[in-house]
Amino acid sequence: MTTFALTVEGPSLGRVLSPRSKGAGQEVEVVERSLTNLWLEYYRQSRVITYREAAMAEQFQTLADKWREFTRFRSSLTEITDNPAYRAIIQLGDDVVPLLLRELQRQPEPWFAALREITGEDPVSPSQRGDMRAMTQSWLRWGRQRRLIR
Amino acid sequence: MTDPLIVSFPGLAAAGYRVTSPATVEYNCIAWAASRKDRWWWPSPDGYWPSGVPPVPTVQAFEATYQTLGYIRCATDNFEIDYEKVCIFAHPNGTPTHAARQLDNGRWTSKLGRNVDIEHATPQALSGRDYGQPVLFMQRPRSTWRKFLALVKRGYARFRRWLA
Repeated sequence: MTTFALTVEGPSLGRVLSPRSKGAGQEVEVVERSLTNLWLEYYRQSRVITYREAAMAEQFQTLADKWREFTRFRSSLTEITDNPAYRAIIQLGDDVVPLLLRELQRQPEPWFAALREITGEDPVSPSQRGDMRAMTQSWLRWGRQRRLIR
Repeated sequence: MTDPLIVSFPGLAAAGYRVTSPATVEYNCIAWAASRKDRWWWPSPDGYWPSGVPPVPTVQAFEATYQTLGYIRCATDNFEIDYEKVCIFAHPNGTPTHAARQLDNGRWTSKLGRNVDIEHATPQALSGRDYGQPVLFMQRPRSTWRKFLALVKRGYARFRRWLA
């Protein structure tokens, strides 16, 4: 009796490389080989995305630390958002938006100008201006609605 | 270990300072000098700015902001029992950077960006790369109750100095 398991969730790499259906008919072997190739491609792509995300996160953290270091005593929002490290974070583009939102989940900080500039949106109402907690909540709600954060 | 506050504000080393609150992003020095702790005051899309005051980062606009609270221009940062005072700082190019408020004991209080509040001896102790120099002093009449408090606090501060 031939047994083979198909799963829609990611199998372990060991299982992908060692199909269970030894001794099965030619058709099953073809199907399994195709599935194996599909899963290998899935693994290859997922690893690439993970490395890319990790590199982006590292780059973001380095820039964010620099920005904090240079602006920690500054009150001027103009100086805070004109800082070269802050501008470099904006240059990272759309991919940095989830990271900015995660930072806001951790603690309110003036990331609003960066989010506005990258996304072209502004969920903050005029009455919330200057209220960092309320502004943070508005952006987090915006991010959750777009499934960028949980 | 080097004190990051002394690194950024060398003037604090000689005059001394005292941290009076934990770091927070909820308000900044401009709000703190106006005795407010609920908003970040700055003329920008992310800051609160009093209605009717031009939303531009100039010393004139900052002066107008404190005028809405009853302050008027004055000559010095000297302690006067009849008046409470604020001080506006600016870079050499005229861009405002910071504001400090005089306490009833004659010393000054400043919120340092997203960092802590401190009590310091003089406004000039914060002069330097980050804030530039004090460029404008403003005053408003002190209430009778605050005058009494100021007398008591200054008397107590002098007594402690005498004891030391």
